[in-house]
Amino acid sequence: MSFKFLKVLTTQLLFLLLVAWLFWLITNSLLIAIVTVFAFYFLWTVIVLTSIRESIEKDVKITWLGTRGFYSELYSDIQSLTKNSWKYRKKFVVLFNEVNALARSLPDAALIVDDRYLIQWCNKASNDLLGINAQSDVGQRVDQLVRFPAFIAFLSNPDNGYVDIEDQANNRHLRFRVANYAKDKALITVRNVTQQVKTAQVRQDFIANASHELKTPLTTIKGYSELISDAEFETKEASQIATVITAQADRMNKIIEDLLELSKIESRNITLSNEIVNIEGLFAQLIEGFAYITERPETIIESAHKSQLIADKQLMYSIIENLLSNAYHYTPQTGQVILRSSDHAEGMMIEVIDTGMGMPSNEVTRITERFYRIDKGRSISTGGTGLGLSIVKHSLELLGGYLEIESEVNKGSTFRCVFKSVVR
Amino acid sequence: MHKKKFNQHISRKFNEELESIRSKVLNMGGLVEDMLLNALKALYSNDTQLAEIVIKKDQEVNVIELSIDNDCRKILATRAPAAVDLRLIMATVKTITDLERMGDEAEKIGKTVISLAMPDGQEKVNYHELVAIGGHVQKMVTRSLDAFARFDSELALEIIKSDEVVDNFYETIYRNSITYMIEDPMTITRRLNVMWIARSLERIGDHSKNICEYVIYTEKGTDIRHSEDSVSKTNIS
Repeated sequence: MSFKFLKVLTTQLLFLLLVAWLFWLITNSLLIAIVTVFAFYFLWTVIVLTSIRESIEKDVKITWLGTRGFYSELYSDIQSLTKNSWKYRKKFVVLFNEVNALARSLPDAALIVDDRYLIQWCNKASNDLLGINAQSDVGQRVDQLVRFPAFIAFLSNPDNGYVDIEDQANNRHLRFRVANYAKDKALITVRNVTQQVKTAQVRQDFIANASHELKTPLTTIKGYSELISDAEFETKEASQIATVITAQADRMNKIIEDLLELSKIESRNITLSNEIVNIEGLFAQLIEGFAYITERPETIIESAHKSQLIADKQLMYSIIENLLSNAYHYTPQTGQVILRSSDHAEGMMIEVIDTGMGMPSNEVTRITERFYRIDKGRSISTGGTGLGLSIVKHSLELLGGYLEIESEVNKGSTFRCVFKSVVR
Repeated sequence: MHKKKFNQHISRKFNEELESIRSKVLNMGGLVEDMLLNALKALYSNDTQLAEIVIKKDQEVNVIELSIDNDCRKILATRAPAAVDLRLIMATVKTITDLERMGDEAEKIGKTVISLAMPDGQEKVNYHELVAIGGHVQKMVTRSLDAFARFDSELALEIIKSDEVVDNFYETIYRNSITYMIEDPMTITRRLNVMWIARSLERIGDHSKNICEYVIYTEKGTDIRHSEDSVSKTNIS
């Protein structure tokens, strides 16, 4: 109990007792005096509180309360609190209207759904992109109105971040994202990515066509350069030049072959053969394939489990071959390369671990981009095309898996391939 | 009728069962829509690989039909639905039959695309008449499923009326094909295939119309099947 409260209480009581004493003198009855005074006081309190309530409701100022006294102070405090609350309310209304206007003006469709996929809220673009109306469709299940089979599959397992779906009826491509922001709430956003898909298609077609067109003249260059290399020259320099031409033509041929393979995988213009792949057999075949590299680091194979994989064996071979080739390139002869397969929550994991030069963590995210080099000079010294990891990433996606990379400078790198289709 | 009408039972489980059936029907509808779009794409682009995918998809549609049939049987046996619930179950059983047949027709188009596919270097048949009817039928299918999702009888009635356009398209293709065949008997086989596709599309349009009739039956309780009187159809809303 605060001092202020005690002071007010004491003052009020003393005042009432004084008035009651005066009444007692007039009426000669103590009981009547006390009851009358307290009845008047109760009436006064009710009148004052009702007036304060009306004043707040109607926003009218009470002038007769004066500036001093308990009720006057109380009235002044309530007035100041009400004023502040209106100020904040106004601020919130402005902010809410701004957020609402922002959501309405978004070019992407945005929908809030609950754990049963019932639409709670949606913006105007939802109508343009999905035909979902904010007025009439709130409360409907989103999977009943957006019926793309790929979207329905994605909605039940939105781990991959986003899914691109071709809306054939409207000749456009839509990108769906689902973000769970609360236990029973999710935000679905849909973006029209038709232009991006078309641009990517043009780029892919250009690379495929250009690579194809370059292949014919390159074959001629390669053939003649090999003929020249075999000839006898008077000077040593001429012989060296011919050898360089042949080596560079070979390198260019490898780049073109990789580009063609990458564009084929990216366009998904590839028929996958689903066969049971024996991992131990595949590893043995891969190691045998690298037998030509005599000066290579020690290779350890760890394949202790009994799982088998249903996948395209050729594509799997290509994925691990690319990773092993990188590991051999960037690991000194004294180092170690581990090829390991193990069970994973989503299927099976194959790891290629090396103790090579590694790379900074900020480069890891960009390393799967085509032609991306950490050290621009490396391509010449190591002889790679800069397309290997890009091929690995897209091949894994084609097989329904994904790639994880961990690396530390001067300690080595770990490349993890997760495959989803597994036979136990 | 708003879907909330199906969510007003005392038993929450019953609400969920009805909602789950509706979702399954619309997922099945989504598959059929996809099959039809791919079948038309395969036809226009002479893509036999895509046509094969369409043919394989029909199996999925059949499996879903059996599953929904089973769910409806369980509800009839255990919940003894009445009034709007009974109408919904009846409409669902009939809708999935129509959807399954639409899937079969899309499969037929896929098979015809494979038999129509020309070896490289030969001139392709002009499918411009099929583009128009195909586009219209595809819209009918999508809109009839929208009407089912929202139980919107006004939209359903609009779709029923638009079936006439598909019938007119079919009539035109039929007459044109006969004219071509009389003029040049060498085109008979290919023209017959085109007519088969047009026939399949016309049938898909009819199935969409049937779905719309079930939507009206569920919402209004009025059975407008086989009612040739357009006035009665206009008056239901």
